[in-house]
Amino acid sequence: MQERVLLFPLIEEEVSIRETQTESLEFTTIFETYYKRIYNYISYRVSCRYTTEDLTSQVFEKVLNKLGTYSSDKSPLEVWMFAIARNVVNDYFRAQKRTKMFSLEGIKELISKKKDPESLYILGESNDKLFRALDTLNERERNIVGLKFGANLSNIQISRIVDLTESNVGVILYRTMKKLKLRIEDESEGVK
Amino acid sequence: MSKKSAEQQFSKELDAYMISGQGPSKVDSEEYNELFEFGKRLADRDFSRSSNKGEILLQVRRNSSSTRGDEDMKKTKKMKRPVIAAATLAVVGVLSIGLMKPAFAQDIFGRIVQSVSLGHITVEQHEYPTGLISIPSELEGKIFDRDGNPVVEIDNEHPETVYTASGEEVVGFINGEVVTKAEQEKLDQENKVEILVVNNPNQLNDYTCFDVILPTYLPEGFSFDRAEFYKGDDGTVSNSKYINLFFKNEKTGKSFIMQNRFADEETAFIRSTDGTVEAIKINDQDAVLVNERDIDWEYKGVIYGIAGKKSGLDPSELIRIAESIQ
Repeated sequence: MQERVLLFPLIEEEVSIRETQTESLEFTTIFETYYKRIYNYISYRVSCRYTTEDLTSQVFEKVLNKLGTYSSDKSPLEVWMFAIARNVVNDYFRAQKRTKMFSLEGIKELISKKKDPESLYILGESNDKLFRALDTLNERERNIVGLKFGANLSNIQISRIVDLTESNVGVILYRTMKKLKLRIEDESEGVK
Repeated sequence: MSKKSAEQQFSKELDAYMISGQGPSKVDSEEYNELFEFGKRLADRDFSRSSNKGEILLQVRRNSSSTRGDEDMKKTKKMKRPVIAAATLAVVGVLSIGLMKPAFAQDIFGRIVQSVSLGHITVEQHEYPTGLISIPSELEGKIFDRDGNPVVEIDNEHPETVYTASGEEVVGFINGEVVTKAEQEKLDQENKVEILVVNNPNQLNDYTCFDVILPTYLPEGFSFDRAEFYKGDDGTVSNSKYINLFFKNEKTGKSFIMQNRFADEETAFIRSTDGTVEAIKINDQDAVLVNERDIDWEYKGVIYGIAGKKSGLDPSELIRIAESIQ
């Protein structure tokens, strides 16, 4: 049997206790409010559940650390949060490319080891189809689909994050949806 | 309808659907309607439902405190020793990993099966992954096996002793750096806490910042043996947040330990096990029974813990002892 002590918060001064409590309350509210949308946005961008969980926690960690510097005059909280999320995912892809050069085999092994039967079952067949179709999109298309359907953002909010005009976002979204739908239908008919 | 306007209308109606659940106005285009149905399906999809939300929040908090540790290594040394000693006492056979890299920690801890949280106490039941786990990249090239071969994976179930390049035994990792046995012993020596032993049960309240309540029920043969306190820097004990109580059965040699702590941020803890975790009640207060031998609960601002591993008592007897604290 294994037992471990995971966390033993040590706070030294009374001031820091109060600060931590306020910060913690505010942060918990943000976490509860945005968890689903951040998670879903990342799901649309990366096809692995464990990576999604890892990146989601990284996003909220950054939010927690940077909450003090957020200013509502500059951008709405939503835009700020999803800009952070986009950066975390982009950083992840960059790091992946670097690591892949060193050891492609290692990564494959890591991924296959992490996909236990249960999580595969949870993902389900239709999700796999969706993920395979998403894999055929380029990064910009995939990002916009994620911001739309995962993050539930309006086109004007998306346009601020990806630095395109609102109508441009609409056009890309429409075309990407057509592409995606076609790919999924192809998959269902067994056409590759 | 021109192509351009179809795209704009699609976006507008999709936004309306996502905000209020309203469907599209019937458009005379099969493609448009099909695409809208597809969009609805995507918008309704919630990947997060099958995710470990609680664990992610925990990971954020863990990670965030370890980031603070990175910035100031000295902070880890500033940890008040009584707290660490208290932790070790409360959970026997513990590996403390407060500052481990979260991704590695996740590999080691695996999935949370159950989590019981009562105020300042959290107990998690984990399914520890079996088999080999890749070490975090910061440790690559820093740890070696007995024969001096680099270690890249550790066996979570039966961890082998690892060594530095020069053959020194490694006992832990802090912020991606190895801590050797000699370093740890030196640190322990520096932070060594003297223990004050008190044998008279009537004097216990003189040392603590809370009222010490002893159990009025003890199983046959058991009696109060002693109390221990951690001495402060000046060698005395006053207003201590911790008290360790030892009970013994002289005839059988069986014993159990109670630790009581004044409940606050400093004394709060999370423990984890791959054994059983059961939510129970002690005098109508929420409590948790861990591995059928330890009980943790909070009552009137004090955290109580009974460690019954060496007691030979069944859970029902341990619960009876706990319930006699009122």
